[in-house]
Amino acid sequence: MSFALDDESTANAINQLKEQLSKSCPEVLKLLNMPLTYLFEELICNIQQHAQTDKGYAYLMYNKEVNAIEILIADYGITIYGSYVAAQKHLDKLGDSDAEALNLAQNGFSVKNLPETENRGYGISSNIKMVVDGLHGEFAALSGNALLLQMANSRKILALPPEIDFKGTMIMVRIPAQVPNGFNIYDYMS
Amino acid sequence: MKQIINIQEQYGAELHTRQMMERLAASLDSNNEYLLDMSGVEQISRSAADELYNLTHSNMHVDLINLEPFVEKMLSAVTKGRFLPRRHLAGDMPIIHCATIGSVQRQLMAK
Repeated sequence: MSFALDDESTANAINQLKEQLSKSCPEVLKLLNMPLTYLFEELICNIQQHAQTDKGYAYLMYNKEVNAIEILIADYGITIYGSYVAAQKHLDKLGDSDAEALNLAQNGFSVKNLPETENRGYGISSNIKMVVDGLHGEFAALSGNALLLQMANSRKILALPPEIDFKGTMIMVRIPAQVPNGFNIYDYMS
Repeated sequence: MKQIINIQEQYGAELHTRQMMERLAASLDSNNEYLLDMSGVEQISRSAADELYNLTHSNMHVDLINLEPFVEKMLSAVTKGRFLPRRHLAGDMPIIHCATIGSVQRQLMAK
């Protein structure tokens, strides 16, 4: 589905994603409602705040074969690299590389106005931590011509060949449809 | 006398966006005092909580009452975040340069 980025449309989009899961797999939604809502909010908020676009795209399905939820949130905005450039942040580390931009983002380097404190930032780094460490899922981000992949035993960024160049950012997440023992969403909020 | 605003009635049980809280802030009069009744608000995004923090630390006279556990935790996380140094705990990720589609495929297969 596509959605506008005003607050009513984003709220509707989040509710629709959850309704969709509720229809196909209500017990999974019951288990994962809070972390999923949290994840949707953060990913969509990143589009609102950084992508400089007027629309987002979202897709969710329950994959019965692997007993997992698969989520895609995307935009055709200025890419993560573009958002650092637009904010004039960390340009010394960034070079001209989408891969370096993804590396900075996954390591919590903010484009916000007070980069020395947590300030308003949350971002990809905490999303990855919750999905991979907390929920034993997999996280991928495609932005420009770089692809970040992180799962339990592997983390890397691929600088892609020039023929692959996504004009925006796409986050793909797979979360097992069961909550690991000891998972506590509060551990990922601070 | 403080005016009580029931947030759940006006904005729902889930506060997803920063804009919602900006809209709330814009609706308030700086000459009045407000109590925001948060009962029934069970979910709040970090962005909305951050905006709520701004509101309660602005020149507006706004206090929060009846916070649900998740909302309380989120506001606490946001408040702490304002004073903590930013941490870069994840460290650098290895960057692998793939010159061809074939090398991308190999990397994807290797996981």
